[in-house]
Amino acid sequence: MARWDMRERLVILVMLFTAALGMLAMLHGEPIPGDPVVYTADMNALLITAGMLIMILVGAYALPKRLDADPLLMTMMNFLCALGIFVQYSINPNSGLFHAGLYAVGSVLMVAVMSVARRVKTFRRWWLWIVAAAAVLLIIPLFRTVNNAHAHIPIQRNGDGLITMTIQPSEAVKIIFIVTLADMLSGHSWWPDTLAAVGFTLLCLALLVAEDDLGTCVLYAATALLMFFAATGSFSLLLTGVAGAGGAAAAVYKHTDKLKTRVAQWLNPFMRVQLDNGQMGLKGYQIAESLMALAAGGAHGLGYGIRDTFRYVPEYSNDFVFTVVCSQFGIVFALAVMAAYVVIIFRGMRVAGMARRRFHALMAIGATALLGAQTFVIIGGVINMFPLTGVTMPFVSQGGSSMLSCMALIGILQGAHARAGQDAREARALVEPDGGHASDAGAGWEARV
Amino acid sequence: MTKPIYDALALTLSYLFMALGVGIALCGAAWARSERGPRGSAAAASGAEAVGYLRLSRGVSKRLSKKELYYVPVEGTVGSGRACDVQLPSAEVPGKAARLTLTQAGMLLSPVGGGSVRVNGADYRASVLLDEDTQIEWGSLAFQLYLYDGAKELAAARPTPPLSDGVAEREEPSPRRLFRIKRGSPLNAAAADDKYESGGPDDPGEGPEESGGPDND
Repeated sequence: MARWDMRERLVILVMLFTAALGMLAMLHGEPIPGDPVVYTADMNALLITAGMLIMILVGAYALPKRLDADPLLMTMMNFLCALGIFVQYSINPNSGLFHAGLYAVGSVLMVAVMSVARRVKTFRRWWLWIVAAAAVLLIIPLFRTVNNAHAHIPIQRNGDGLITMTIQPSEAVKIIFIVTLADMLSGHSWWPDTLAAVGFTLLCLALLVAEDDLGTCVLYAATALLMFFAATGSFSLLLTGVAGAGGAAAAVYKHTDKLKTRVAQWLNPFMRVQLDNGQMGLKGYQIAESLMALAAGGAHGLGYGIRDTFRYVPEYSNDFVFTVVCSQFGIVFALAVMAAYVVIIFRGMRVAGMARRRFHALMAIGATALLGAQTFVIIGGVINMFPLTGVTMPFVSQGGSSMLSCMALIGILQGAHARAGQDAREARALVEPDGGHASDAGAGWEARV
Repeated sequence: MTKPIYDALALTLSYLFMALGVGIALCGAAWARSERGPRGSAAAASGAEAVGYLRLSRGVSKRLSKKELYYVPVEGTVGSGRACDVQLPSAEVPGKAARLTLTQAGMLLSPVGGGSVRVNGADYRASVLLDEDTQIEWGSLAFQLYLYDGAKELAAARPTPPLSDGVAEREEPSPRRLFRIKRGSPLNAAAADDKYESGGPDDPGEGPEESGGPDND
C-alpha cells in the first residue's frame, strides 16, 4: 500500500467527508409520482458536491503551486466551507445553494485579495481616503433599522415589503480595518502613525457602538489590541487597552438595555419569567433551546438532515449554526470542527512568524486574531460560556457579507504566506555561491514597507 | 428498506462522520505540528525586518529588561526617544543617541548630535564598525549586539561604508570574523545550509573589518 504524505491524507479525508455529505444531501430529492419509496436524486446537491471536490483539489494542489498558497489553510477552510454548505442545504436547499454561490464568489475574492496582499507594501498616501471610506460604510447603516439594530443595509424586499436580504458594511470594513492598522503600525514614524492607528480604531469602535453592533465591536477591539501588542511588544500598552475596553464595556452596559438583557439571559437562561405578551416563558429562550438541542445530539449526533431538535432555536441557520452541527453530527464532531478552527489560527500565527515584513506580519496577525475571536465569541455564546453576541460562525453560518469577509481574511493570510515564501527565496538567492543576483535579491529585503 | 437496516445504516453514518471529523482534525493538527513556525510569532512581528537585536547586558533600569530584545533594523536610529527605530527607554540613553546602518563592511554605529558613544569601554565620536557581541554603553547601561544568520549575506548587498569619512578603523586586521552564524533567528532561512556558514580559517569573506581606534577624549 502506497504511503501517503500528510497533504494527501488530509485531502482524501476532506474529500471523503464532502462526498459522503453530498450523497446524503442528494437524498433530499422529490418522491417519484406513484412510487412512495424511490426518490429522484437531487441534482443540485450532486453539482455542489462535484464543485466542492474540485475546489478541494484546486486549493490543496493548484493554488499552492501557482500562487504559493498554504495548502493546509486552504484544505481546512474548504472543509469548513463544505460543512457550511451542506448544513445550510439540510436546513433549506435554497439556502445551501446560495451558500455554495457565495463560496464560489468568495474563492475568486480570496485569490484577488491574496494577489493584492502579496504585492502591496504600503498605501500610506491613501490613508485619508481609506479611513473616510470606512467611516462612510459604517455611518450609512445608522439611518436604517433592521432587526432592532443599525448594522445592516436592506437590498431586497419581497412583495409584502418585508426585508429578505441585507448587507452588513462592518464585514467589509473588517478587511479595511486590518490592512490599514497593519500599515499604520508598521511605519517608522512611531508617534504620529500610532496616534493615527489609535484614532482610526476608536472611530470604528464608536461607530459600531452607535450601530448597536456590539458583537462586531468586540471583534474589532480584540483584533486591535492584539495588533497593537504585536507591533509594539508592550505589555503596558496591552494592559491599558484591556482596561480601557473594560471601562468602555462597563459604560455601555450601564446605558444599554440590550446588553443588560443579554447578560441576564446568560446568567439564568432557564429562569421562567412573564414575557411581553403576558405568558410565562424562559428568560433566555434562545440559549435554553440551543442548549437543549445541543445536548440532544449526544456524542455522535442524530444524523444529517434531522431538524426536529433545533427547529425551535431562533436564527439556527445563522448565529446558532453550531447548535445544528452539534445536533446533527454530535459533540465529538463539533470538537473536531473547533480543532479545525484552532489549526487555522495556529497556521495563521505561523504565517505571521514567517513574514519578513512588518506589514505582512501584522496583517496576518490581524486576520488570524479576527477569525479566532469571531469563532471563540460565537461558539462561546452558543454554549453559554459568556453572553451571546450576534456574530456568525466563520464559513459555516448563513450570511453573505460574513462569508465573503472571512474568505477575504484567508486571502490576506495567503497573501502574507506567498510574500514570505517569495522573500525567503530572495534571501536564499543572496547566498547562492555565484552571488550574481545578490543585489537584486537584497532589494526585496531592504525595501522598507 | 426495513427500519432496523435503516437504523443501523444511520448509526453507521453517524459514526462515519464522527470518525471523518476527528481524522480531519488530527491530520490537520499533525500537519501543522510538523511544519511549526518560529516560537513567539506575535513577538516576532515587531522584529520581522530586523537583522539582529540589542540586549541589556549590564545595569539596571526601570523600563528596560534583560529579557527583552530590542530589534535592530537594516538602518535606523537608536535612543530613548519614541521616534527612534530602536527605542531604549532609559534616562541614561540620549533621546537620539546614534544611527545604525548595515553596510557591506558590517554594522556601522554613528553618534548623532555631536555626542559620543562608548563601545567596548572606549569612547568614539566618529562612526564605528561594530563586531557581533560588541558592548555599547550609555551611562551605567551596557547593551550587547547580536546579529542574525543571513545578516552577512544581506550586508553584501548593502552600500560600502564611507570609510574615508571619519570611520574609525582598526589598524591591524582582526582574526575574528565579522558575523557569527546563529541558528533559530527569523532570518536564518537565508543561511540554513551549513555550507554558507562563515568562519572557517580560510573563509575569504571574513575579515579585518572590526573597528577600533579609541577616541580617548
